[in-house]
This record gives sequence, C-alpha cells and structure tokens, in this order.
Amino acid sequence: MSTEPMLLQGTLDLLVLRTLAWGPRHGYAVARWIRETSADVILVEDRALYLALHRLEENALIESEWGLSENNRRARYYQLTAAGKRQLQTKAASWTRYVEAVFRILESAEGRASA
Amino acid sequence: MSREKRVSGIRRLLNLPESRRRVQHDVDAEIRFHIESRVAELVADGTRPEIARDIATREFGDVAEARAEIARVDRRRLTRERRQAWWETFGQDLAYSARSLRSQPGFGAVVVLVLALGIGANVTMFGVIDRLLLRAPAYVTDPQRVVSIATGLRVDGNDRLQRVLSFPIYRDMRSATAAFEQVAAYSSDDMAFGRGREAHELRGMRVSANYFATLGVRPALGRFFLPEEDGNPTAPRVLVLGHGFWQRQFEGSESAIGRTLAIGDDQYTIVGVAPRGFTGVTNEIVDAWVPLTANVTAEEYAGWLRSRQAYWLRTIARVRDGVTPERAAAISTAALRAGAVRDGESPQALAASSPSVHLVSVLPREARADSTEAQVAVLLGAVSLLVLLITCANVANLQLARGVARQREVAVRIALGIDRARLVRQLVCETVLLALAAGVAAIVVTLWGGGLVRRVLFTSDLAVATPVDLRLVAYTAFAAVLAGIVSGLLPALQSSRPAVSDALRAGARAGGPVRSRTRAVLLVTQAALTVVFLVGAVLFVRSLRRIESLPLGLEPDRVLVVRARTSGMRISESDVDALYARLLDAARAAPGIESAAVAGGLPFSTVWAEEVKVPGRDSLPLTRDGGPYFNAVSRDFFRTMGIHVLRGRGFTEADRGTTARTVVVNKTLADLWWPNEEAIGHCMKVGGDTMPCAQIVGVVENTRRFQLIEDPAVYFYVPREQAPRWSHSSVLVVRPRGDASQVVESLRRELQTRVLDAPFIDVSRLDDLVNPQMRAWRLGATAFGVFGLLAVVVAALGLYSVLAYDVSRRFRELGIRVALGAGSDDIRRMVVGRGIRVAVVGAALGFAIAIAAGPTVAPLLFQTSARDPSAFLVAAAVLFTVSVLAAIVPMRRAARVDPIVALRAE
Repeated sequence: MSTEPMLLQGTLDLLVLRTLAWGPRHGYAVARWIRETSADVILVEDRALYLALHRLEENALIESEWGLSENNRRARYYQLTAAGKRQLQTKAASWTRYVEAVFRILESAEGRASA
Repeated sequence: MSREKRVSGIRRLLNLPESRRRVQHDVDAEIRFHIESRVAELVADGTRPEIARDIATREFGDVAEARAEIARVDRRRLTRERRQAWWETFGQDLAYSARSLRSQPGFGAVVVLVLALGIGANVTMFGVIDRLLLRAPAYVTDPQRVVSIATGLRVDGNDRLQRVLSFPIYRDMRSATAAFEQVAAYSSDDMAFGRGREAHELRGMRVSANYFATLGVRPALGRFFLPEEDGNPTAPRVLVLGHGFWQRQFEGSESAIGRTLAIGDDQYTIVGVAPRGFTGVTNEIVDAWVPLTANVTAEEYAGWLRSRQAYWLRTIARVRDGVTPERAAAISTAALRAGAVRDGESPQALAASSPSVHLVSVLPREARADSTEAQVAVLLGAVSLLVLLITCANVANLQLARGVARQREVAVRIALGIDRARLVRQLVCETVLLALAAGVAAIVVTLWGGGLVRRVLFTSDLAVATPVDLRLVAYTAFAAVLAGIVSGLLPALQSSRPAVSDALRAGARAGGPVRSRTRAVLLVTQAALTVVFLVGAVLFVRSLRRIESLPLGLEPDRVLVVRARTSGMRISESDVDALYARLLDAARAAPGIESAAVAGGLPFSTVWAEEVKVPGRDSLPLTRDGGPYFNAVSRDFFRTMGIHVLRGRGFTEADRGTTARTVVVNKTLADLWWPNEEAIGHCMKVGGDTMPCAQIVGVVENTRRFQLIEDPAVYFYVPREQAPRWSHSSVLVVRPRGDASQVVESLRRELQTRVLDAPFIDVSRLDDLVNPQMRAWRLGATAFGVFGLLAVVVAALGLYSVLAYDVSRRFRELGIRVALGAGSDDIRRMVVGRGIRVAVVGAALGFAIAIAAGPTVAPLLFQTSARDPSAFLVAAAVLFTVSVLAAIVPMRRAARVDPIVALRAE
C-alpha cells in the first residue's frame, strides 16, 4: 500500500481545486470525494485538507460561505473563484504533462529492458 | 453529490459578517461538523459509535494544532482583506472628493485661502515655540543630565540668584566630584582678527578644556581642546572654529586644520571644527572657541584665582548618572561653603549669606520658561490655535452652506444605499484634501514670510535658523489633517442625514432649522474669538506704546556705540585709553557727526560702583538697587547721549586731571542726599574719606543702568581725566546729525581708516541694546494685531457668505414678503439685523472670554489694565463695523428681489 509518496507538494491543492470544480461543497464532502474517487489510494489527513482549504482561501483561489448541509446543519461551503478556475486549468495541464512525461520514461525503460 | 444541495437564500441570511473574534468559533464549528459527519457515516455503515468517534478523530489528525493553525491563516486573510478594502474605498473617496472639488474651483480656492491663513499662523508660531522651548540643545548627549550652575546668596534678607560665577567658585564646583562627572566654564569674548582696514570681528567664546566633553559633542573635523591647553599661560595658542565661520572663511576646506588665525597679537592654530549648528546650551552663535586661559598672563590668572567676588564665568555641569538633582545641589552647596571658608570668609558672614547652589536644567522648557519672551510665545501659540479654530469654524460654515446646495445629490446617494459612515468619510475627505493644499501654501508662506517675522520679533540667533525643517513639515501635515477633519466633520454629519424624500422633493430651497442654528453658533463663535483678539491687540499695542514712551533720560535712537575689540591684544589700560582718545578725535573729525564722547560705562550695558563719602555725614541713603554707581565721561557726554542737564552744568574742557575735582550727579542722588537744599556746590569724596573733595557742578536727569523697567539708583559722573585709576575707557558714544542707523557702516569704515592700527571697531546703535527689552511687547502687539486682522477678515468672510447664501435661499420667501407689502427698507433691516445680532451676541461672549482670560494676560502687559475699557470699546466697534460691511452686499441683493421672478423660480 504505497499511498504516502503519491501526495507531492502542491498536489493536494490541485485535488481540492478539482473537487470544487463541480460546484460549492463543504470540507467533509471534499474529503469524502477524494477518498472515494481515488478508491482509498490517496489517504489525506483531514487536518492537512482543511489547512489547504483555508490557505487556498487566503490566496483568493477559493471563497467560503456558511450554508446548510443536506441534513440541515450549518456547514462551511467552498467555491472556486475566477482566479481559482484559472489556476486549476494551468495546474491540471502542467500536472498532466508531468505525469505523461514520467509515464513515458517508465514505459520506454520497460520497453528497452524487455527488448 | 446530489445530496449536497445549495440553499443559497438561507445561507446568505445566516452568513454573519466575519470578525476576528468569530474566526476561532467558525473554525471549531467546521471541524466539529466534519467529525460528526464522519461519525454518522461510519455508524450508518455499521460501526459502533464509540469506535466510530475514535476513527474519525484519528483520521483527522491533531485537532488542537489544526484549529490553531487554521485560525491563524484565517485571521491573516481577514486582516489583509480589511486593509485592502479600506484603501480601496479610501482611494475611491479621494477620487470622488477631488472630482467634486474640481467642479467648484471657486469654493475650493476660498477654503484653501482661509485655511492657509489659519494653518500658516499656527505653523509660524509652532516654529517659534519649537526653537524657543521644545528643542533640546543640538548635539548635547543626555541633555537632561546637563545643568547650568547658579549660586544663591542672601543679601539684606533677599535671596539673589547669581547666574555667573567667579573662578574660585568654579573651582569649588569642580571639586564636587561626587555630584558631577564634569564641570565646565565658558565666557563669551568678542574678539577680532586682522588690523585697520583688514580687521574683522570674531564672536569668540572662552571655554574650559572639558567644555565639549561635558556636553558630549563630537567635532565635525579635527579635535577639541586637550587638558594641557587650558590653565597654562605658556600653552600653544589653539582654537576651534564654528561651522558657519569655517564655511565662510575657509570655504569648508579640510585644510583649515593646522592653519593659523591672527587674533589680537597672537597666532592661533586651528585644531578642530564644531558640528554645524552647535551653539552650546544657549542660542549664541560662536565663530571660534579658545581655551579659557588663552593669552591670559600668569599675573592675570593669579588674579582670577584670588577674586572670589568677580563674577564672570558661566558654568555647566554633567550630573553623575544616578545622582538626583537635589542630591547634586546638596553636595555642591557643601563644596561651595567649604571653598568660601578656605578663601577666608568668616563663619558669621557665611551664616548670614548662606550661599547655596542651584542647578538649572539646560533644557529650554525649564531654563527659559520664566522669560517674558517664552511666556508671550506660549500665549501666542494658544492664540494661533484659536485662529486655526476660527478658520475651521469658517470653513465648516462654508461647507454647511454648500451642503445645503448639495442636499439633492446626497439624498440620491443615500437612496442608492451608500453607507452613512462612508458618506461622512467622503465629505470629510474633501476638507482634508483642501486643508492639505492649504498646508502646502502655509509652508510656502512660512518659508517666505516666517523668516521675516522671526527677524522682526526675535533675537538674531533665532532668526538665522532655517525657517522650515522636517519637524515643521510634520507639524504642518498634522495641523492640516486635523483642521480638515475638525472643519469637515460637523458639516458632513449634518448633510449626511437629510430626510431623503423631503430633500428630493424640495430641491435646494430648504435649509432646515437645525442647520441654520449650527451656522449661527459658528458665526457667533467666530465673532467672539475675533473680539478676544482685538482686545488682546489693543492691550499689547497700548503696553508697547507705554514702554516706548517711557522717559529713559536719554535718546537711544540718536546714539551710536563704538567699541574697539581689544580682546587678545597685549595692551595696557593706558594704551586702551589712548586708543579711545584717538578714536574720539577721529569721530569728531568725521563728516556728519554732531558730537562724540568716551566713557567708562554705558547705560543698558556696563556700570561701575564706587565708595563715596560726604563730609559731615555718617551714612548716605541709597535706593533698593544699591550703588552709588558712577560713570567716568569726557566732555560732551551728556549732549551726545541726550541727557538733559537739569541744573548747573555738564563737564567742559576745563575739567581736567590737573584742575579742581568736579562731579555731576543724577536727580535721584541730589534728591536723596540733599532733599531740602541745592546739591550743587557740595563736596563728595569719590573713593572714600582719604580722597580730595569733588564739587558738585550739575544735576542731570536719571537714566538707566540695565533695564527699561528698573528703579532709579544713585548715580554720578566724574570727568574722564579725574576717574579712579582702575577705571578705563570702554566705549565711545557718537551722535550723528541725521538718522543714526544710516551711518553705522560708514562711521565704522571712517574710523577704521583714520585709526589704522586699531583692532576691529564695532559700531552699533544704542537702540540695539534697548530694543531687545521691548521684544516681548512688540511680539505681543504684532502677533495679536496680525491675528486680530486675520480673524476680522475671516469672520467677515464667514458672515458675508452665510448672509449671501441665506438671501439666495430665501428668495422665494423674500418675494412673498415683498408681494405682501414689505418695503425694501424692511427687507434691508431684516438682513442687516441678522448681521448685527451676530455681532452683538459675539461681542458679549468675546468680552466674557477676554475678562476671564484677564488674569493670565495681565502680567504680560505694561502699565495697562487687562480690563481697559477702551480696548473693549475698540474691539466692539471694529466687529460692529465689519458686520455691517459684510451685510451690505447681501442686503442690496435682498432689497432688489422682484416678487414675480422669485415666485416663478423653480
């Protein structure tokens, strides 16, 4: 179970932004979505997640409002700002490029070894 | 995801404004929500509740650390957001204010002008008070530990404070090492360098070697004196240059160090330069410092050590760290008494005089607080604040009038939902902008006119200081912002709360009773303060007149004082006499000179005292001021000085050293010693019983010894050639034919050319000795006069603007009145009546303030009652006239109202 090395610096931010791309949601929903979507491969400590949320808000990439949750409890909802959407696009693109590059290297290495 | 519905309406409702206090609370709520949601989910999946909570908490991580960390991030964000928002709206407000001002440049110009006058007056006075009282002496380290030493003596039951000490007392002070780290002495000595036509004056200061160390000042160049350069007649001659003199004479070149300057008969080597603007603990400007004993012979030095009663040294000391001033005074008093005993004073005499040491801080607010000059300056500072207040009231009034005209605009903005605080801020912003512009104008005025004001009103040393520096600019900015807020706040508060619908409907017609009451109060306040200033101006002008017309017994404006700077020359007293005799001949031969005379002493400057016996009398009465004083003068002295000979004669060519002794006495001496008979013809033995009789040949008017205001003293004159051997010539007085001040420089050149080997010859007006003593009153009269004029102008402007505005606002009402049969006289009366009502109420209030302030001002006046009725009468008359004048134009306009036009308008 090699989950820890998967969370590189800045990756969590990207994941949070991506999660919020579908619309406003509260911190718990973000945590659950990451957990469920990654099929428990990426395990984020909740504390780190909340810190990331508040840092992103400090940098004006997301904004928050208090609202009512599905079971009628007060919850803090986060939402992307215009700057956040832009950031998500560029970061996602560069991340994809990066992963593809890594993937190519791994692929070609394997190819040569098998040849 | 579908479960996470957004309930935006309610959410917005519950969305409370964020505050720093709420931050932690919100963070806690968020964390709680998360953990409880997770627990609920786990329980729903079949986990036991206790275990579910454990899991949720573990998954979360360190909760305590998280809540602190997250809250910190949030607080940081909140602070930044708020600051940003503030600057953003502030920028908007500024832009809005600037736009709205640009649309009314005339209004802006008037406000800037009025505020520039008020702020300018204030800033000028601040500059003066700052120099006079607030600023610590430049370059002095730890100035609160530096003191001037004075001694107190009891003389005839009165305590007398002696601010100059004798050399032996200075030595006693140096022995009080438990009290002082350093004790230094200094004494100014006007010197000169060069001879004849090449002679130049040099404002010199003799200082002990540790003088600079005592003050803790560092040289700008070179070094200060070494201990062995002082107290040693054979030491090489050295001097330290003042920064200004170094710039003028050596163009600020570093090569000045090591060069020599010829002072008197000696060559002095320049060893250092003092920092720029260093003047010790006083404001005296110094060109060069020399060691205390520079060119003092061994015999003279021995004389200093012996003469405990010769007071000539000023002394400063640095009190030891941790020693209280009281303790230091006690220690040094003990040293003073021990020294007196050592120098042979009897215990009885010591007990009778009970000498003590008084330590006076060199910080100007303590050292100078008692001077009339400082008191007047502080009074004027307070007055200039009032001037500023008047101008603020005036600007507030103008703004109020403008606010009424802008009511519709404001109402629209309020209807559109602008926050009231924001609106107030925008309106205040406008006045602050104007006030800042006025501040800039005020500084320009101070740069240009402030120097002039200081030259006229203050000592030369204050006048030469730069009129504008950073402190002054900072103060101006502060005063401007404050004035802007003070004058803008009230109108802003008023005009930001109109009844919206009313204002929208009524347009600019309605003024509202509240607002016009505020304006009336402001007008009356202005009028009252104006009256106060006018009363002050009249009182001070009257004092000055009284002082100027004091009979001095001589004519200072007609007399020039000539002195040769012999300091530093090895020259005997008979040589000095000979020099003055030659100068006297030269002056008499110079063109345009009516008469000239030499003397040993000079009124307002120096005086000598001598023992006198009258045969057949055991004791001779004296006035409280001691004596008998005398002066040794040549013929023509009385004529030159303008001293009237009341009876008998003055001295003539016949009163020589070889002829019978003669003496001329003043009126006080004649009246006191021979109250019921003619003094002329009686015998006085000048110098004691052993001296031959001198016959009184004349009685002259009383003059002064030192002060404009002093009691007459017993005073007599002896012919120059018959003077006691120890008294020598010290001054030449010259009476030119025309205006004395016109010939100062030409006489100086003439004398310097005619007496070629003379040292620098100093020519000044006797008036220059007298005038500084009138400064306090001159200052009061001028400043109150200027401020009073300012207040009158500003108050008239305020009254005019309000009346004019009123008339324009009430056009309709006036039209109706005319239509209903009011004559133009009624209308006129109505407008002028308002102006007069303001004047009457304002004058009454002003009188009350002036009477209340009387006791504060009274000690600063001279032979003038603070309740002088004529001052009040003049003030009331001026205010009344100005009020009527201010009402004339609006009155004319009102009287011309055409009812048809007025009623059709709008």
